Amino acid sequence: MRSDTRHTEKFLQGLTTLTGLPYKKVQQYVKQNNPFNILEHPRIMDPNEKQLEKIGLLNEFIASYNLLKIYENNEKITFNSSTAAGQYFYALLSGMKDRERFMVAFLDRSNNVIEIKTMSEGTVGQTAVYPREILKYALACDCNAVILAHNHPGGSQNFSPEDKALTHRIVDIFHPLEIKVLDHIIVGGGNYSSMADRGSMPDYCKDPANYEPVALGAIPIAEKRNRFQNTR
Amino acid sequence: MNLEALRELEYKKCADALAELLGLDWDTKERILKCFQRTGIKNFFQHLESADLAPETSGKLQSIQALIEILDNKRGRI
Repeated sequence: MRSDTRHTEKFLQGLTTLTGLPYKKVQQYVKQNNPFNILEHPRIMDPNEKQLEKIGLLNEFIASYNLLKIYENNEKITFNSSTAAGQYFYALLSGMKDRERFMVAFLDRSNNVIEIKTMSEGTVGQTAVYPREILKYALACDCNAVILAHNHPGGSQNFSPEDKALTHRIVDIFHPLEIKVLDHIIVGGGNYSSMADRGSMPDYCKDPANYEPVALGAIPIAEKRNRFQNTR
Repeated sequence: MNLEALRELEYKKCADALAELLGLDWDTKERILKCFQRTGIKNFFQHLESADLAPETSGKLQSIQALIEILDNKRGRI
């Protein structure tokens, strides 16, 4: 417990020195809240423009640092588990707070990364994914498997019905070509979740291949409602 | 995928973000970038004292070091 307090103090000192946020205000906030919220949702501290810019730069640096640690540890990047893929995409996407980005990793037979591509980028709550484009890259690099990933700027780590439908759509296209869709990673709320880990990855075709674009939407209203509990 | 090229690109991005965040001049930014390239980013922050930087810069980098240490422990993943 004492070590936790010391860590929090150290964290707050570093954060306030770098961003210019007032120490007392931050200290007050963490009495009842998780200190990491400040980095993930900086507006809760009601920062001025300069402080907000500094927090953004700090987040940018942290995302870059996390990515470099992966690059420095490996000669080549291999996604041999959902954890490896999750950590990688977390490093790539956790800094994206203002828009949704959809990425695909194209893998060889040993699950080494051939290429990682940003397939689309949208607004804070929506992005359009073009299955035809994903297929084009997959065939061009002669991959054996793909892993899908995108971020939820709103922080949800749950797979929305649109996320699940998109995954199925990609499986419908790739399964007949013997290209495996190994996982779909969601990054949000300071962590990531893996569809494979949850046992929800489809491994069969549900419908005929459909190449129409898919809109990945914001969190469904029903889920938003479920998050709010009326206590009266 | 050319990992070396990606690493180089990311070192530059990281040094740029750091320079803007800490208000570093061009020379200091370049010196830090060279350190990243020579020793790697993890080693750079583990051996900050050997980077021979101005005390003010070192102080700010120590704040960064404290933050990333805590974030690493919190996530305990990467």
